[in-house]
Amino acid sequence: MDWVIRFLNILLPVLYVSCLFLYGFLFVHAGAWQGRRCRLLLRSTLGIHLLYLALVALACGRLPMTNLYEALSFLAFAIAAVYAYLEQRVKDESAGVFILAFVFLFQILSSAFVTHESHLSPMLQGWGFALHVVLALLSYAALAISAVFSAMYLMLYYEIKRHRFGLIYSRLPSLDVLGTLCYQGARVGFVLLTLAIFSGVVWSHQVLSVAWYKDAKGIVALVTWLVYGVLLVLKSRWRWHGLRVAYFSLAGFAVILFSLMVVNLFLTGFHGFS
Amino acid sequence: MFKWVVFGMNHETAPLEVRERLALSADEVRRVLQRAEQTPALDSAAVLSTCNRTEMVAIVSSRGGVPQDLLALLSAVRPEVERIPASSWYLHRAEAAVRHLFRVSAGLDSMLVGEPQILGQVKEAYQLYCEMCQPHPVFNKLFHLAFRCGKRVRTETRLGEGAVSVAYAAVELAMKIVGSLAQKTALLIGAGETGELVARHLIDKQIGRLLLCNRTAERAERLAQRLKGQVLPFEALERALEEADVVLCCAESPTRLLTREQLSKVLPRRSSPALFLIDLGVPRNCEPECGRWENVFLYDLDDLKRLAELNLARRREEIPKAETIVEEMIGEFALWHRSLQAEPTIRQLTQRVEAIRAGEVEKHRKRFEGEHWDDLDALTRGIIGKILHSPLEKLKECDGKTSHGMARLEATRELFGLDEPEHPEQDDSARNAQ
Repeated sequence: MDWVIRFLNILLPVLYVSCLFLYGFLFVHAGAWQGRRCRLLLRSTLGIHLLYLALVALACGRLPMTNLYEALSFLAFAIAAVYAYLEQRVKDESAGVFILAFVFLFQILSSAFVTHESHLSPMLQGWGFALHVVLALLSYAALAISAVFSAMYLMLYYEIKRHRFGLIYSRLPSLDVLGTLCYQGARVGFVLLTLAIFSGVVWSHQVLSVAWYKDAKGIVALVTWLVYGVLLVLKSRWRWHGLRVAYFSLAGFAVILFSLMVVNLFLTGFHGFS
Repeated sequence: MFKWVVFGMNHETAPLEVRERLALSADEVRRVLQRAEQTPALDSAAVLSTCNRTEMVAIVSSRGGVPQDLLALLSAVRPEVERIPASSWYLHRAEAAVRHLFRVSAGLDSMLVGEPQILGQVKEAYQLYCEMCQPHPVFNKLFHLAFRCGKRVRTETRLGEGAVSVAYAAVELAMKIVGSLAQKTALLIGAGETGELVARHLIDKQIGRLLLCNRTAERAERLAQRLKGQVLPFEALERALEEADVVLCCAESPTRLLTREQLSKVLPRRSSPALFLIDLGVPRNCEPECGRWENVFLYDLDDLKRLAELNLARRREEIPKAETIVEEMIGEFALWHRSLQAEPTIRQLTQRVEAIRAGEVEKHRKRFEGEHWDDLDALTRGIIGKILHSPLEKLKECDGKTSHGMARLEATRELFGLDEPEHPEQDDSARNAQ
């Protein structure tokens, strides 16, 4: 089984970069018929990615997300899967190239550095930990998608504002649709993040007997939660609209990237499980 | 041999005053088709009549006098046809006629290249033809390929994308900003013609609500009746601005109707995220600074003209791709037409049956002693020969020149699946047998 996992680990970035190129080509050149090829390739890639995650889980006897690089692969899968669902709902493939750029980045980092340790600390075995990690990664996926739609919103906003009618203008869906997707992504992500933090606090208290605020990752997670919480309050109470929501969502995602990269790699705390 | 022709006039060969004299109603088209059925020189004819073209697609026998017979058909319902100068008409024959029909379906021959209505109009022409006449196999194939050609051009190229008139460009921009118009409110300030045209396009796109504001209340009332909108007094302009998503300004006013200060008061009270201001007035109705507010998008006539021209240029860039599709479809039609000759059909049928026979014999050969193999071959060949004798004789009588003969050849091809790829197993068996 090991060689299959190693092969799929190399294959996945290749497949995602192929998706990225195909969606990029669709964005620049092709008509609607090319969309079918893109959808087919993305779904096939998702199927293979799911198989990879299942094989790692079987081989190691645990969830395939107990270190940073495994988590990045699961995050790539979750983002791509949520995007595939949204694409089906909205009937628009223009966001694919932007979303898949993140997916590819996460997967290539994962494939380059991942190691699958069979041994897992006993404290990380159990449903509490699994629930916390899955919720956290799903919330990151939803918030990443919200950030990508925010970036698309800003690109289109300034294109229309400056009376330019280039590729961005002709290919992206309306500001209204982008604004809605950005807000919905942030809302779903916030709910999942709330549940992830809550489950994490409860689990760390029960299993580790450590206060969450003594951990750098826990503090950054709280900052992320506050950024998105403020965004949702301002949106609903102060009638904040597209532009500011988009900027806020990007700021929130910058905190997440900081949490994923800098905090995980350079700061210590009980999230470093080694 | 069949000869198909396209005869008619369009926006390139005839001016509007000529075209409008020849725009036929559905009933008039039916009368033309009825007469066409009784014209010996014509095997079949269909009529396509729109505001930009009136043309006949016809299959004529070799005895037919083209275009006199076709002109006679049209002049029977529109006598003024005879006074139209000959230079207004065109006649395309054979492959050029097929190319013309396919280009028309694709929107390549339209005044506004890529416009979507023409494909529906070609379909209506074919429906009227089917309603009035016994459908001819060549016509069936020709029109269905024309529909496919139109559809392929629309899905595989961007020929139909982007608004190419100022009014449509305004609506396209509105939809790019506020999305679906169904739940949105448009406000029309003034009673200018372009504004009314844009408002009509917004109504076509199912705008949720249309408000009208004009200094002269009577003009606003008259316009509201035509557009089924709601009139507000001019003094209520600020309240209307709070509710509107799209504002069309087309008043004849020497002073600005919308100012930056006015918007600064209105914007905090608005619940909608974006405000699209379309300034169609000359002189302009909105202060240019209005567009500097966050989530306010201001466009004037020149901006919209630039967008329409840009879209037209983009459509023209797609023409080579669309022409390639047209040529592919012509190739498909030519291939189909060639297959309807008797000789290739007979050859393909005998080859197909022989392949099946050889395959089956090969599969069961081991059940027989080697000394009987020649007898087995002779026996099966004999059975096949007897079965095929009568059908082949009948097919030899078909020359592919009469509609009856073509129908028989087409039925044979369909029954024996001669246009489908052969079963690979059969091919292998046949090869082994040889």
